[in-house]
Amino acid sequence: MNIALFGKLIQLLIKEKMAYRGDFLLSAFAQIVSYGGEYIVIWLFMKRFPLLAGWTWPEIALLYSFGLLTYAIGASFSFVQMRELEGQVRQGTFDNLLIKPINPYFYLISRGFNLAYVAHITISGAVLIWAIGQLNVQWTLLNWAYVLLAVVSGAMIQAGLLTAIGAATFLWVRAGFLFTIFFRLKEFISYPLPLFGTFIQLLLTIGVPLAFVNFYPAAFLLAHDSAPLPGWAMWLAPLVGPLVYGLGYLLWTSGANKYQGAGG
Amino acid sequence: MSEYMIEIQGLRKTFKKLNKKAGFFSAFGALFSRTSELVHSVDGIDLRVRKGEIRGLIGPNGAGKSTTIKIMSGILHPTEGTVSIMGYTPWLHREKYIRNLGVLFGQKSQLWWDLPPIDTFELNREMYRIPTDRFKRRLDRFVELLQIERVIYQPVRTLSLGERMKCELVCALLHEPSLIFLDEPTIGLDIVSKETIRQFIKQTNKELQTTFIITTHDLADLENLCDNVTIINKGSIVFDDAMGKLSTFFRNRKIIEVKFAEPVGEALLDGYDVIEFGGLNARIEVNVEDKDIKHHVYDILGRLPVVDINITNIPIEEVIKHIYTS
Amino acid sequence: MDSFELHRYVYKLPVNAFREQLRFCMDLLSVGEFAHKPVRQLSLGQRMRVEIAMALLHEPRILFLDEPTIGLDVMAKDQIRQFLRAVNRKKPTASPGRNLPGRSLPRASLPGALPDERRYGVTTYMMFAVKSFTNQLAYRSEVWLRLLGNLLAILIQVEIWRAVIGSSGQEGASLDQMITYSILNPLLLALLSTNVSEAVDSSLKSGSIATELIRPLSYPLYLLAGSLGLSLYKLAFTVAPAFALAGLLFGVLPPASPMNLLAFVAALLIAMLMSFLLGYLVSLLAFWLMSHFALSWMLGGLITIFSGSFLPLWFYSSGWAAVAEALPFQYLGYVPAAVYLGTMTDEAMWRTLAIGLIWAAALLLLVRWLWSRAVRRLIIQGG
Repeated sequence: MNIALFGKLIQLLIKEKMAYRGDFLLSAFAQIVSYGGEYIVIWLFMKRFPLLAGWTWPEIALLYSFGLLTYAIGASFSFVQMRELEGQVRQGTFDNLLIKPINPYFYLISRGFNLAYVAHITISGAVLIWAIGQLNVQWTLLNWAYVLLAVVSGAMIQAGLLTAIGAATFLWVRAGFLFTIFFRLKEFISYPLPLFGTFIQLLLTIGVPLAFVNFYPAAFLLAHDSAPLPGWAMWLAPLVGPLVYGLGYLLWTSGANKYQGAGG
Repeated sequence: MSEYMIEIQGLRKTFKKLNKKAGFFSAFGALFSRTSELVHSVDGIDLRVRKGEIRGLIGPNGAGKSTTIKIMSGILHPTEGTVSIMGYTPWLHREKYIRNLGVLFGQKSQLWWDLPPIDTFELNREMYRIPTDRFKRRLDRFVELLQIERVIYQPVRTLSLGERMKCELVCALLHEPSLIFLDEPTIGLDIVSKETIRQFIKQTNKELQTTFIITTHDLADLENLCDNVTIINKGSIVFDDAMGKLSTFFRNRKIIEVKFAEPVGEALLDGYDVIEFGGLNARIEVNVEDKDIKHHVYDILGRLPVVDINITNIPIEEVIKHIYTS
Repeated sequence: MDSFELHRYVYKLPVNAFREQLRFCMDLLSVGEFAHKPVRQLSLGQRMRVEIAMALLHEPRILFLDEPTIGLDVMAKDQIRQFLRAVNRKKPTASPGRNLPGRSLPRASLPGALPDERRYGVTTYMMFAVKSFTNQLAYRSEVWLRLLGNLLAILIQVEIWRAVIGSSGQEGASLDQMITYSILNPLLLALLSTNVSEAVDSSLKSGSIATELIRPLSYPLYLLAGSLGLSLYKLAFTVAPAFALAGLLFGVLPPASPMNLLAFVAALLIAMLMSFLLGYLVSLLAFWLMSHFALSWMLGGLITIFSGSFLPLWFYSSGWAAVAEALPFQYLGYVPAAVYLGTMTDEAMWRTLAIGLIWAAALLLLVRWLWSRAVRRLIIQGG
């Protein structure tokens, strides 16, 4: 897998989507309506209750947008690809990947790269920029760099977790329930973590590190309480991304090797 | 360099199959203890294929055929045995080995559904790093042989099955592999398309000396294409010889089909092994071991009002059924 | 075997004749050993055999076979050919060739006419509901997962309300009421989610709707029955247990009064019907607009905003509340919960429910009209 091949794949993916241009645009619009709905409900809530665990509406909007943006980026490289893995393993079409002269993981995620998430990125990006404008934070170069790192890291965490779930497919085949657990847990991070008590805080920090996706970076940036992490951990937080992604990748490749031993 | 493209010795593949129990409560029991059994999918296979051969590989479903192909493709590791293909051990040197291998799964498409086949071809060109001029030459040649000049520019979803299959073949051969596995290449096709594809395979085999391994349930494919046939049943090889030997497997037996001018009583065919009988026709099987064919034919022509007669070997289908069940 | 039994109901076959034909088909095709296994566990050859058996169970006069032996090895091909010859000899059944589409026609129907749906009574559809219920039992291992998911969703809402309301309560509701609201709504969402939309969309797109239409029953009612069976299953195995558990963990209020409980049940039924109809509507619109994914996401968005599933309507700012009250989505979350809690006056409550019935009726008419247009277009265009 090299850049030229990846580029060619993306080119074909776009061409494929353009074959159904109307459908693509309509679907993008629908996603914006759908997430717009989520934002509207939270906005209506915060109109009535201006503070949630000490966070204001622009801050909550920032938190939520961070979550959605990183999810969209991470998932475009992982979610649908990993979810379809179960069907491919069951029907044997996964073998098609193994007879190509390319690393199967990279081919899988590139071939299945999901352009549809562009709508997610559009709306969450727009709200994020709006929220940033509303907040009284010193927007130094350092802070911008931090935001960038946090976004990349957040995307990697989610891509890594989704890849790890895909790896579980090689082991159990019917591992789809893990996706459900992932999405349920992900709902917690739309809101400030301290709302939920120690158990959940620890679960989402040490167990399934979703809190690093948006809560900790936002808490550090906005000078909110970042318990249980100490304040000086601010620049360590973005390291969680590559770590989780690396682990996910390793799990996946070892799963694929097992598939080749067990015959699927 | 060995004259053999494929050399397999003592191939074995055993799977562990977990026994699922039915019922509500045994689902819980399964959490604590599960019995498993060993399934010997491939149970000692030796196989040798020469360069440039067109080899048929057949067997009933579940016989270990697909497992063997998967091992040869590098998708699966065997439990035991050695496999040497073009000097590589497939599952160990997968990425390098695959560059020189072509695969076509008749029922699993490699073409992008909403785009014209030419796009998938271009992608393959990039993936296999085929030099542009070579790519163009090969593509033009294949297009000419298969008559798909316009087809390759239409979205795959608009193509008929026959056109699609031709494009799949091109896809598998564009990078000029020395060896190609074809799994059910003519499934679901009409007679004309089948013939075109068979011609194409034979032509490519002649021009490029590509070795073909074909798995199929279509016996006409076998008869028309393959030099040699290997039959796998219950994990082992039960026949491995030239196609001609298969046709004359039952050398001692012949089928005689006769049509009569007027209805004939079945009793007149007493003494013969009658396979089918209608008043005006009959199909009988004769043994030519003790009495040769002339004797049988004279007898029938002499006694019965025959207007048409047809003498054939036992059909391949019967031979294969016999081999599968023995 | 289950499909065979259903087939007997659908074609209203007399029991004895059916059993005899079943035994004949099963013996000749030797499907006895695996007729009780789930279809997904059968090999291709086995599956083909049971498909053919089923097509012949109602003793049709004509049988259309489209590539019945494709992909089968010589043994399986042979067996099927022998079977077809045996059937043909027993009762002359014309089999026009190997490459025509379709399935067998019921005895009394003419080509082009749809079977008479009105012959089928409530009991048949009830059977479908029961069938749908028992089908779900195959997935009982996922019950714990659903339960956990429901509890987590409830937890999130409860903690949010605890944080903003505190023990003093706010105009609109007390903390206890909001906790109960937070327990009811996620469970409602779980109960109301159907797969009707996907089912109709995929069968319209793939054309397999044609096979459904050939059967002598009403497809929408069949789906509704199935959907009710599914809801019943969810109610019994995930929603009720989750309600009990959540009640223990967070404390739940009982219904405001016995009358409110009654009204709650009514509101629940209205919600289930509406949810079914909305899903059906989306798939019908998608049939013309060709974009099921987009339409169902948009419906989701509207439901998020206007069902009051997270934020009760009495907390909405006035403009938004007015819009929400004019739309049917409130019946999918806010209304049942508000009825349960008794936050509306009795008069307002019954009025709201009456309007809900009107909405349901309107949706029903719309769906019926669109459905008949869709079916007609399919038949004319040939799928």
